[in-house]
Amino acid sequence: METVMSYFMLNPAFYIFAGLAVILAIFMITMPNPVYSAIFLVLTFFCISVIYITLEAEFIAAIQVLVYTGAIMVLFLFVIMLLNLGRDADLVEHSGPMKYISIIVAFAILIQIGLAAKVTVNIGEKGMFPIEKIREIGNTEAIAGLLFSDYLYPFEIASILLLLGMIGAIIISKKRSE
Amino acid sequence: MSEQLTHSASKKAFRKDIPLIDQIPPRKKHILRGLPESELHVEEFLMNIGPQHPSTHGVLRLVVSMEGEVVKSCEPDLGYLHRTFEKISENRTYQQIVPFTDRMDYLGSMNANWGVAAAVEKLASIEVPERAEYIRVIVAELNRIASHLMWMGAFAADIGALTGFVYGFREREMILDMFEEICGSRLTYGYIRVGGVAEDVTPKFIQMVNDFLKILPDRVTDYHDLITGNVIFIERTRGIGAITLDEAISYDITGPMLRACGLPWDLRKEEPYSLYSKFDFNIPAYFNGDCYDRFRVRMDEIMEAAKIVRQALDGLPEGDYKVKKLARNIKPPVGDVYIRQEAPRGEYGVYMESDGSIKPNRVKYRTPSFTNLSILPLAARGWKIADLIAILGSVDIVLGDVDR
Amino acid sequence: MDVILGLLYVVILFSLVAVQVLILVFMERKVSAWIQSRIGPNRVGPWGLLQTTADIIKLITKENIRNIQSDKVIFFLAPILAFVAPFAGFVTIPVAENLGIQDLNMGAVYVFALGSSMVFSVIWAGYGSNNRYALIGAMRSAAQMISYEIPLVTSVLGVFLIAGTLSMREIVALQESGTWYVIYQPLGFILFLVAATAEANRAPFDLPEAESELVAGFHTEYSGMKFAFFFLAEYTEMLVACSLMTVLFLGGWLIPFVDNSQIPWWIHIFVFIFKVYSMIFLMMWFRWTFPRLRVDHLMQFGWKVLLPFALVNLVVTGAVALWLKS
Repeated sequence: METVMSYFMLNPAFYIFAGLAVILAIFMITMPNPVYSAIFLVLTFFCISVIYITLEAEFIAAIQVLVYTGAIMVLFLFVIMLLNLGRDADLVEHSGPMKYISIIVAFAILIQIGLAAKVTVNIGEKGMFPIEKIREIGNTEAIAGLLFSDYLYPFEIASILLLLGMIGAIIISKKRSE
Repeated sequence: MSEQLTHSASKKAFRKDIPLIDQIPPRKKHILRGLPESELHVEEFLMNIGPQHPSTHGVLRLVVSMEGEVVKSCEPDLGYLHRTFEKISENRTYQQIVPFTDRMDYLGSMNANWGVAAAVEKLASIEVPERAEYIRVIVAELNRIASHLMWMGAFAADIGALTGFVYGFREREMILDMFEEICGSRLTYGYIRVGGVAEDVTPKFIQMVNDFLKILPDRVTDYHDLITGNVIFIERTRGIGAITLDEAISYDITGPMLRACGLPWDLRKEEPYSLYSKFDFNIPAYFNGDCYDRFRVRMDEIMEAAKIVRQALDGLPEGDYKVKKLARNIKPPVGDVYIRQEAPRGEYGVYMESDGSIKPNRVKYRTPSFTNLSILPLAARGWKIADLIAILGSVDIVLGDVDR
Repeated sequence: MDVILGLLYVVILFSLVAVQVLILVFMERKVSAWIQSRIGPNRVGPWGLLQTTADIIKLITKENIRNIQSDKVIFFLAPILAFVAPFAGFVTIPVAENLGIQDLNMGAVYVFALGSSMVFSVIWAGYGSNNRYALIGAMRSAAQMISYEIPLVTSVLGVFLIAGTLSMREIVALQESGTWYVIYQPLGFILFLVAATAEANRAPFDLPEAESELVAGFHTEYSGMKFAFFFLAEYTEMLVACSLMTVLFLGGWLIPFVDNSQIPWWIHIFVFIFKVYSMIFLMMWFRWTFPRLRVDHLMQFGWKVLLPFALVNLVVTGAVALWLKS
């Protein structure tokens, strides 16, 4: 108990919002109404962005909100409304044994992650960009530096993939209107 | 349940051969209903525009079937303002009919009064003094200007330019003040009566008209600056709801809507009634039949009407403003008459049949708004919902005129 | 202690914003009256000054009507979020040199992030009220906000490139020499102005609430205080957008051609407010002059005009910045 408290006192905001994010995520998957699920997912994203802020990665926090909630989740809601899935509870699945198997697998993954996290937390090794260094150079600059030097190729490949996706979407919608 | 519904709905329908439009599918079954296996499939959904809606200019109900934002079909549902004016007119003496016509086209009351007065005069062979005819031309053309100004404002508001709305009202207000000066009323005038007009014009009225004609050209230039040249306005109106001349003629469209299709048909020129053959004026016409051309036709007509008012005011003779001795109850000889005139919205016809008594046997009004509205389903098909509003606005309906 | 201080800030900020909105609504009425050659409100209080107050009292005391088939929770949440998101944007805006709640080192991006979550309120309002007009309004809004966010953000990237920072306070400080970024970035400024007008759902981009087509769009079903919140949100959004414009392009609290360190802070506040209000006046002028765009024109304008120009602006700025550096 004491160790838990000491962890908590170390960074209370992180634990509060991490816990909140987990609870909201559970709500998100248990809601029968997809619109509510989407709302809880949005709230989860907000919690995660707050966690980024506690890590002083403010740029990532803002981008998290800008991209995930502002763009992707809007499209999710758009589709849900367009397909008129709300309130009809069409999405309830009745898949007998698969349900139990997936619960077991989920718990297994949870335990695995927990063990892995325990090990890392205990070692407490610092990465390339500890908070002191970020404070010195600014987190936006740090991300930009990495993106355009070490990770330039993955970055460009990702953008080409997105471009391809965009072109594909345009072709599909064009075909429909013809 | 459904059987009951159909039963009660069929009671409501006036004609059995017209399919019922009240049957709106249960809620939330609209827009997209799942993804069929092959491709995206768009389902139409019904939307009621009106009877309570800011842009239906009264109590018109449009049952619009839409695919996304695109109008697939649009059916006007009329009758919310039906007051049986034709029947009422058959139960009144000839002079008593006039005030009812105010309530039909309430934005062009003078013209509406005039049609009935002219019909009765023709039926009973009443000679109207020349001064009265001049006054009639002046007030009718002023009313045309007022009506077009009001329309311009309402159309601008339909497009989303709210300032145009108020500007249109500003100048219309001056005309209403003039009418108030001569007949004491600002909307339902009852001014043009059988045998002349109700009161003689006052010097103050003439002064007011003169002042108005002085400022009008500047103001119209202002409107052109504000609205006609605006890129967004042109984008929103040019080519929108275009109808061909053939379609317009086969739908019996008249007035500015017809003239926007390229035919300069105006009864004031084609069959000059009253004094119109004396005046020099043009019939503006454009050729695309779209909302933009309807707008331009009406804007030009304002200036042409002002020209007529100017000439009529200059030529205003002295004399009586009404027939001196007119029987309290006119008893026209047996017969019928059809008078048609160019009202602000198009051809306004009055059919009257006399059986020799003090009341007409049959009265029928041919109101321009009603006939012009009939082209809306054709003109609006395939356009977006915003265009539907623009097209409806450009038709220039007055619901009192449509439903009578 | 921090929490109490934070709450205090929120209360102060809220009252300031509420007062600003009252003034803005009054200003909108008077400006529209002036443009339309009317008089505007002149009955309640001197020069009609209390008209907005009276309206707010009316809205508070009005019955809250809820469509029985609407979604209770979503219907309730939408107006709250509508106000909270732009309101939170004020946190990072510096009003004078040392006046501003919190200077974040990515302040501008933070405001954009909040602006992007604004769209949820509109979608929820449209979905929750179970009304076809509202639903169409919400659909339009979602499409519009996503489309205009991209040129909005892209148009200010030029400023960030020149400044080399995302912190609002530093951006203003860098304009100290008298050259506002509007001089370096005239195209960016115009694009930002247009995109911000669209993002705030102001005419001529007010399609989500186009009253001649959709009655009141996404807030058709709202009444009373909930409606008031949407109202409040619209003006708050305008305030945030214009404050951003002032900070990023118009030198924030700075007075040009003057040594600003000699000037007391309270004059800086007035300068800032004056600049913000000038921009707001511009937006009002738009609203009362232009007709409304059609939905497909709006999309075309966003993607085919604003975005290419914004990208060209960005590329040219980047090239020039590189050239100057080397």
